[in-house]
Amino acid sequence: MKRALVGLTVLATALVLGLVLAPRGDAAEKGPIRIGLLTSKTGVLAIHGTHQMAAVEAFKDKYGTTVAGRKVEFYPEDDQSKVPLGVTKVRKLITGDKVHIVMGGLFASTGYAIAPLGDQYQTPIFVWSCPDDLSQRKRYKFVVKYFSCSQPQHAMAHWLRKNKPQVKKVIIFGPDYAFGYESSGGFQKVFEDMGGQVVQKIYAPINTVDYGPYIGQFRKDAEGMFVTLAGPQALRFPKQYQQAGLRDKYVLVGNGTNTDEFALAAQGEDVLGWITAHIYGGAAYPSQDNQEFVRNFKKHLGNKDPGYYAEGYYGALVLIYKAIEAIKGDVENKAKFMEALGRTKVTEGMPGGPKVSDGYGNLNTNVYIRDVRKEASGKLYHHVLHVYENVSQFWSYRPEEFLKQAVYDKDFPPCKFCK
Amino acid sequence: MAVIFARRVLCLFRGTAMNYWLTQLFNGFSYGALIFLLAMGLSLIFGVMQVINVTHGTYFLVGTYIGLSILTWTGNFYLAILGGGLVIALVGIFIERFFLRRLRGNDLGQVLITFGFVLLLQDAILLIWGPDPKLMGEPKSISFTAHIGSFTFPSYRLFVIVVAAAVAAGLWLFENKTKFGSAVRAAVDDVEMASGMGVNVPLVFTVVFGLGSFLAGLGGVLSGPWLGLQYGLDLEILPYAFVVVIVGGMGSLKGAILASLLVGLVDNFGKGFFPDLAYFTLFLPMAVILAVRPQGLFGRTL
Amino acid sequence: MIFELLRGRGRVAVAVAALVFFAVYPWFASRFMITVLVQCLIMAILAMSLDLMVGYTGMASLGHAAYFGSGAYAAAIVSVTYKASFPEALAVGLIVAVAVTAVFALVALRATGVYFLMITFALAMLIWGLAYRWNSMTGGENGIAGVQRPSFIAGTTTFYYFVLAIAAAVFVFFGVLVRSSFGRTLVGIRESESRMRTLGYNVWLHKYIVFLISGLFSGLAGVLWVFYDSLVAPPLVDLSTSFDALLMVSVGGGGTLVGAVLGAVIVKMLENLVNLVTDRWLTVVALVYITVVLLAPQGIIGLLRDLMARREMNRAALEVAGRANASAGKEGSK
Repeated sequence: MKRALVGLTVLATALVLGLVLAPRGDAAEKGPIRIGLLTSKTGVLAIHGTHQMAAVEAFKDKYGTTVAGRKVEFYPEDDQSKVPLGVTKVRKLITGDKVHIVMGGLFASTGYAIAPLGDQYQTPIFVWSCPDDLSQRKRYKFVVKYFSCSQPQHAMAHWLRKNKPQVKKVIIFGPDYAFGYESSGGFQKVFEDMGGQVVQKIYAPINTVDYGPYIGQFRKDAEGMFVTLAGPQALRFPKQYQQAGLRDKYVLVGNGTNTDEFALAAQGEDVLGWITAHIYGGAAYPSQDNQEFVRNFKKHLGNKDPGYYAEGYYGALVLIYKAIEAIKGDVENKAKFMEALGRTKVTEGMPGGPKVSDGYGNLNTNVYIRDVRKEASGKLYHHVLHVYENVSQFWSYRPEEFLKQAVYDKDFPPCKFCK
Repeated sequence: MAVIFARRVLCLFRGTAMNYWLTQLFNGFSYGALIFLLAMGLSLIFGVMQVINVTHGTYFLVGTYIGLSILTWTGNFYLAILGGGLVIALVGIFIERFFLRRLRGNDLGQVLITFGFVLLLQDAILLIWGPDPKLMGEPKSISFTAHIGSFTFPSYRLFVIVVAAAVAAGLWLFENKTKFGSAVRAAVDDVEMASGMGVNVPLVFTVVFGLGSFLAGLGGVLSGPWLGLQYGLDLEILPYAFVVVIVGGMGSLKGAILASLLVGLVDNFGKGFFPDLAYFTLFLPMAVILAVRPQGLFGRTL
Repeated sequence: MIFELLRGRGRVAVAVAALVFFAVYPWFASRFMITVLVQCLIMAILAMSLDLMVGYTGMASLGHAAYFGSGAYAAAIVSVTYKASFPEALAVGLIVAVAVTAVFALVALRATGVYFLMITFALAMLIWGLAYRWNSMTGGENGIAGVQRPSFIAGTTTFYYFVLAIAAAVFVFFGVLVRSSFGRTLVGIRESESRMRTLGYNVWLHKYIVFLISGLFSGLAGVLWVFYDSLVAPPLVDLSTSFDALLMVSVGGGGTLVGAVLGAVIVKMLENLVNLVTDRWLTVVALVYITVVLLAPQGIIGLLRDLMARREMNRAALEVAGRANASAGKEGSK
């Protein structure tokens, strides 16, 4: 009893002291440049956090921790795979650690949730994930982002129409939140503009355990499927899809997250031949920049391959360094820093190829159409079938026209052909 | 709502309707079978010991990981199923013996401490197996897609149904044909009375907790080739088990079987008809039962 | 020394010191630490309303995320989707929280003890299911972002004082409530329901009213949380929120309002600060759960009270012994 009391009193005292003494954050004006990193080290997305932290190490190997003559400090924060906690953590990074920029946010929803904080605190936020509207209709002065969820999927639809014209009727299946709606919407828009038909749209919660009920609903008269899988879905769905005997029933295309390297080894043969579109060509893509990144990355994560979750984190940091160089390290001038972030252009050193700001807070990027193949050793890898270069988030539409339509959502574009 | 529902039902009856119903029935059945393995232990533990064991879903998941490790070492899937169950049984017995027993009569303390163990075991998974998702292969002999006419179904799900049925039969024999089983049943009805009748209550508690944990671990390993191994699965699947326990009645074998099948089917058809209310269709029957029959379909009166 | 703080004048001194501490806190704390304390204060309101049920009336609810969450969601929905003002959002949040409580309490009050725990837990899952899947209303997985504070409490510091004032008012209100005859009846119910029933009290009605009050103030905490955090999403209403609230009550000590506040501050601090130190924060939080339950089931305040009581007993024993000795001595000298 007495020991417990002493323990608890010590605990309470420590916490009260912590209240008073903890992060005052009154760093000197011209101290190091502080970069806040938001990721998920625990919770359902923990695997991505692990990959992203290894990507940060790989980045440090190549680019060091000094830029424009100033030291750089990284402040990683774990949002435990929860959107609200992400907001709390960004607030903590900005007001507590006094970071000059925050980068990260795994869910598209997290992107939407943290973006307003950039303007509220007049601090740049580099949204690593892909919420479309942050660079379209809901732009914030202090927010840039890496790509739009629909961006690679416009290209996917184009590729499918061009290369497999026999696939005319397609079922859309995706996770039931912004990432799923926007990826699927982008696909549907271009696919239907090119004469295809989306005949069914099904969205499942991200933490669905048993996919049987959804798989059982797939229309038999379709020839193809456009699938988006997020987080844990990438593991459960392929297995259950294969077990339901649908492997050869539909031509399956989809989002690059379906077969991202983080899951590829575990997915095994169930995803062999799956075609996906993404802003990253995969760990096996033979460009020199990519192979150097892959080598560095593997050193920090037990010889595992990086996927887009790692590449995106790495690439975003390269862009941030570039912007800091452009303003000669004057990150205290937030408006100037922000402007530089909105005009970056990097052609070298990026594992995913060149990135050019589009003036809307998004980047034009390569889109890779890949399929999954097997090496002689049995290891699975992405083989790149085609590269669309310098793809805009507006695809080939005129931005003004594109922005007149609503943001891709659960019911937009409407499902004209779902009888 | 009713119109949408009617239209959906009509759609389903047209075209490949028969196939659809068969497939979904089978899916619902098999998922219910898996949920049964998880929920039965939870129900027994609650029925006998009056402990709301929130750790149960985490036992299930840790069981899967242990099963995977055993499978990697030995290459024997059936050994993995047994081993995963046994290790989790030991973990459960340990927690019961050294923690929960000291808190008897403190309902709140017991439930809080089981949540503490959820967090502790989750961190252990991160530490030992890492956050990478993993997949478990099933033996070739039970891995094929069976066709009966135009109706196709994955044989692995059939295997799960068979195991669950065997477990249910075993439990029924245990409860009805063995002396110890009737002691357990007596404890479900009334612990004090059972104790008065000379039942060794601490032993019953340990056995029940071990048995419940064993079932969770076993179900976990069985879920490996179906659901995959994914950090966080424990709290995703736990609500299903709780619904079963509440609907079926705490501690009742019959209730757990029926409620599991009900939950599997409602989950399946709910997702088909009202995709937007997927969880609501699951929780609503539960709420209704709570309101009209708080002890569940087959529970003893409160 | 520490024991004197729990008695009479000592208690007033502690209260004054705490108030002064909270009042001057923003002058020397960073903006981040102010927001952390805002979290603590909002959670203190939730913990106090839960304590009213758990600690004072003996009804352990494992589903307070539901009432907290329905207030939060209702306020966010009307404020973002229907552009309602702050007072309107507050009113709707409170009404919805009370309405949900009124229905759930009817169901839950049919059970007691561990069944009550189970039923409140199950009912809370219902709210979580709605938050998670009723996309058109709740935004589903995305949640609802973009709740804005009105200009008079927009700043970090002004909002802090706003929440502090409300938390203090709730503290005083609950303090009066538990000392009233109504409050004493509640404690009577906790000790023995059947006795109170024989004495002619309507036990069910008392419990129902306490449940409503508790739901109302949990809803208030939820509304404040939305305006603090600017968004709601399903994790806010999942089972960990219910558990956290119970942990706060248990850490501080059930049946004492100060304990609930202390518990809220400690738990929220831990959540915010532990992972600055270690990646194994899950284990740390887990160990807090386990140690509190095993070693200090009556919480910090309870421990202090026990020790104080024991000390007083010792002192009394010593005095008795001393007197006895003295008289024995006198006798001896005779």
